[in-house]
Amino acid sequence: MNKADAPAFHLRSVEGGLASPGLGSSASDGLDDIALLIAATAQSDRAAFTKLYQRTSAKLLGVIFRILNDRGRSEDVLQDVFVRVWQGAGSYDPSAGRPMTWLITIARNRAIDVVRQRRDVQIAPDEDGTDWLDNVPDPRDREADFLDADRLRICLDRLDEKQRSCLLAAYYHGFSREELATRFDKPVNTIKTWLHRSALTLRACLGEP
Amino acid sequence: MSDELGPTSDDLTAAEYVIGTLPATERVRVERLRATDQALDGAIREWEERLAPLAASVPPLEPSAHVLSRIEAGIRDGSRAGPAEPDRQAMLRRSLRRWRAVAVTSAALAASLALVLAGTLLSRPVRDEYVAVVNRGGEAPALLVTVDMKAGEVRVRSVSTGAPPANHSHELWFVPDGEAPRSLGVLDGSVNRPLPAAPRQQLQAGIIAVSSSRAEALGPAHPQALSSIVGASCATDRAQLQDTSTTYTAHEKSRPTKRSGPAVEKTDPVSDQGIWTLSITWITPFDCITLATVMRATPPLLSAT
Repeated sequence: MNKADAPAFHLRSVEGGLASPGLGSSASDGLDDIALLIAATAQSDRAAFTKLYQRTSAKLLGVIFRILNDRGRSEDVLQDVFVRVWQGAGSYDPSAGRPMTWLITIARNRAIDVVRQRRDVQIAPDEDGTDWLDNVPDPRDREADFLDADRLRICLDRLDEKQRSCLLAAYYHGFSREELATRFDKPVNTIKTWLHRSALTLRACLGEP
Repeated sequence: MSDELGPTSDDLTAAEYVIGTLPATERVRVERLRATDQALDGAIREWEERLAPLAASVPPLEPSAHVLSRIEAGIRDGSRAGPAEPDRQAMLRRSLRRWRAVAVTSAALAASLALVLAGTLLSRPVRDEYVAVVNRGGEAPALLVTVDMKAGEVRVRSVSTGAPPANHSHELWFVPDGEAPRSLGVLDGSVNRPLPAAPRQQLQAGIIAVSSSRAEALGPAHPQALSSIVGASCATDRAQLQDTSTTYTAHEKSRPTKRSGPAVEKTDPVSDQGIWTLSITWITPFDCITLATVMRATPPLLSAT
């Protein structure tokens, strides 16, 4: 990830107009474009904002939809997310995190806020968290590559299987502790302990050189 | 009490916040704490980075074509961070138009109520200043309220074109989070009032409200002034209004849409003083700024319609 010389290169890339997502750009290229698009959005550049939407909306809607399981409501949340992005682009600090993380965080937070308010969604039975791990590194997914998915997968492998499923189901579906307790047929306190244990293991593992 | 969580517990709280399993109230508390607690904020960011590959692995879902046009419409007349001073008047006018539109749609309701006060948070050029318009019945603005955190004062300007109704008084309130409202004084025309002496965080968690009273009807306008209470409302999609004796809670009935069509829902039993209706409008969603119009009428007024 050759971040050091990114700014000069991408400045040119913005001036010349950005290629369609996924067309012949390298992994870091596409992602730094997102950072640049956010920066341009912060300058009220509508065209950049539209490109940012085109680049990232499907991914973010996927994330939101996993949590809300309702297309209409998910699109409402997506709309809200992008209005926030427009208004808050200036607060994005590239040194504090990756651009996709920033966008994903806004999307997940809003979806979780909504789902906590009113959980009436049904999760399809086959989405039970059993093959989550296979999802983690999606080779077609440049964002996933960029975000060190391999490393996370290795660390997730170190977790107890049930505890891993619990963590992943929570992250993907926005389940509360209580909902997890029902799904995993364990007391709420056990769920909390599992989550904490998983967090400690992940933190230690991901912190290893 | 910034050390109420130990370092490990802090990090686990951050982890659960990011995983999404914290209960709603705890979530709101964490959101407030992180505004001033850098360690907690940093821990949250680290967990966001650690777990983001999971979200990135979710299969994409192409949004419907209308979503982008709705977003574009939403940002066309929405304010954004950092407008220059001259923009504010334009934003005020837009907001007033918006409010008239809202007032028209709820005209039937408004007609049955003695007084409608609308507080609209308009611009946040910096986070130090908040402007609200308090108007009557969706018509001419009655008051322009500016909360200036930096100067530590609330400025109220009377902008009514006509004379204020007789036997009608406005009172300025500070409603600390979870506590009884404190009066900042009865308003007589344009005044400046100092904000209560309280830590900034506490001020931001509170609400600046203007109440309007007459013999038969009261209605505090309820600009959800500052970001942390506003965040709380956002998290629960719920606004809370307190008066000295009772807590009223309103839930949204339906998803808020662009510039709102507020869902109006009566939630509490009719108190002996009258009926409260609380409507919530979401305006500038980045900080989940909410707006609530509070309408209250006494039973005699209602029965007269």
